[in-house]
Amino acid sequence: MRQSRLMLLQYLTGVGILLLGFLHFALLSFAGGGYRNALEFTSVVSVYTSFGLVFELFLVLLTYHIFYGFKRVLCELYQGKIYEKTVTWLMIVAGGATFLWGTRTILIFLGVLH
Amino acid sequence: MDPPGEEVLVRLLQNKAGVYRGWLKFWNRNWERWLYTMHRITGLGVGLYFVAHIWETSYSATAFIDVSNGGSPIVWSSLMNFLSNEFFHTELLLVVLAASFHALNGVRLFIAEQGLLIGKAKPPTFPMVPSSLRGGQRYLGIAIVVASFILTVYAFYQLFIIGLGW
Repeated sequence: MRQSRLMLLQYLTGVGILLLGFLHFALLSFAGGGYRNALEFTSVVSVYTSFGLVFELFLVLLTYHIFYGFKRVLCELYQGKIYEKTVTWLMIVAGGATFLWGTRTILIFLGVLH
Repeated sequence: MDPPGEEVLVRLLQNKAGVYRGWLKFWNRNWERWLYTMHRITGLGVGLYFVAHIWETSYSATAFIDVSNGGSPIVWSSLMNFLSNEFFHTELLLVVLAASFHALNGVRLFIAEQGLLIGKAKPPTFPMVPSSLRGGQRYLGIAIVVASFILTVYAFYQLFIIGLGW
């Protein structure tokens, strides 16, 4: 994919993260009845079962935004075809692993995985 | 053609303009350069926290296995007790500061990249300050730093006053 499209995706995921990040922040504070209450076992069960798919979307957006950001930073340090390809694949593997590990957590919360 | 591995490392270390002069040497530069460096540093910090947070929540997920039959509140409580202290809450406070700055500055960059709030182009006259450094984006930069600190103060209230009962 062209770099301009990847960068556009970086901006769009950033906007999505801003909105969902605000929701995450709100659920841990004023919308969750205060930080202490929001982290009670029953509150966490209730939030994750209601917002499980929203957190999955949040995970998708964050994974792309962060690992593409890492790639951009690393490719600023040095330029070269092999180096850039290696960094790209390393970020795809690391991002993929992080995404799968996070998805496993959400599926456990949703009761899909036991 | 790429040079062999050792030469890559040498050239990485020699790339002072990219890292030292480009990123870190910002104290005698303009306000936007300071914001640029902070955007990079906060992005890296929040990114690394994200990976740690995925690992941390995966550990806590064990408390929610078989949650329809009650799960394991004891496992959850023990993890929360471990994390509820000044050290971890200070770390969370720094994450809030970094994340809110990074997010709001990202909005400023998005707006500026659309050509908005960067001032009108003018013929170069002494003292040769680019019009983009006089536009509204500069004041937006100040506003986002202030807003980030306000959000951090709120997070301090939630984390330390409500969370730790200070």
